[in-house]
Amino acid sequence: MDTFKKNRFVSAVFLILFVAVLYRSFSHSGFRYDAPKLAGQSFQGSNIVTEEQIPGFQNALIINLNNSEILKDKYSEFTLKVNPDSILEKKNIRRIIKNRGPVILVSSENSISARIWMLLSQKGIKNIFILSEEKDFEVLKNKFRPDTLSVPELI
Amino acid sequence: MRKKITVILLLSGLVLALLPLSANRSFMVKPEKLLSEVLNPDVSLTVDQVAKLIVNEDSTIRIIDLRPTEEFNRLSIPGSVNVPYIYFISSDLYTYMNDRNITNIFYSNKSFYSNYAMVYARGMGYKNSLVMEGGLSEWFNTVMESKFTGERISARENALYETRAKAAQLFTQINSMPDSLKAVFMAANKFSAKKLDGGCE
Repeated sequence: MDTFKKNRFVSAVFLILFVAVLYRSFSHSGFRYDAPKLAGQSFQGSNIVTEEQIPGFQNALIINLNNSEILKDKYSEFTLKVNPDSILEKKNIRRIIKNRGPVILVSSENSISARIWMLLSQKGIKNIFILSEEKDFEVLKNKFRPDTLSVPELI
Repeated sequence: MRKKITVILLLSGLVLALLPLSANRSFMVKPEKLLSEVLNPDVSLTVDQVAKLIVNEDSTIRIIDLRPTEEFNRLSIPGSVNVPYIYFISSDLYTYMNDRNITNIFYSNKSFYSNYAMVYARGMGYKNSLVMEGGLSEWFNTVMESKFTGERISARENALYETRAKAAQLFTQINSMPDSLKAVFMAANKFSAKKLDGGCE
């Protein structure tokens, strides 16, 4: 103890740094995880679920991001209506983290769900899914009709 | 006493070493700031806006196609460059987005990859990132299948349909080229890894 007292300044600096590192590591106020690793899940689409899959989830929490009517009144007992702007409010984050099962983002616009998914997953929140009408989330269904008679001018 | 201090320091070091990774590849922007940025309507462009930029040959934009290379080679928006989504999220973004004066517009087949990429890029500090809403599906629905069905057309509508027609023509011409010609055309638009300046050879 005497040594600590003698080196008060060094001990205080060390303690402050130690607490700061612990705070940064365990607080949810910033991003601190490896971004490419967390984003990787989005490539295969394992974060996309369809409505048919919902009954198979236990303790699911559905987050309705903009009063979407996709699910109508189904699953209302475990649905939380949250405005996308306020998804990062403490009470909402706490509710998401405390949930024991998957968290499913529902929105009438897939783009909003995708943006919120990337943001929450980069905060280290796992088990987040996006509700999509189709499992083929990035498949082009339109057909292109080539015109072999025309040649672009820029060539 | 020295031993005690050594033990305390070693234990502290061990605790710090076992803490979750705070990688230098993590997002740099504060979450609240990033949220308000990505929910701002200005980060989205409609296909009509993108079509206009293409027709006008705007040199301040770069259109990034996030689809797999095979799909890009088969069909792509004129002037776009291909960076498959999996490469985009696993490599250093500086390679693709080093020029801060250029606005990058992401698109994919639908809305997922492009919106993930936009948030990812902005999280990494690249504010010059926008998204073409609806992706190639919306491009087909709005630009390629565009038809005026009314009786009288206003000047504004006329300009819109004209732009769509020009963009559709360009799209059809480029994507109808034989594979050999197309390969040459695509090669001109390919990203090359940024070369280091100077150094030993």
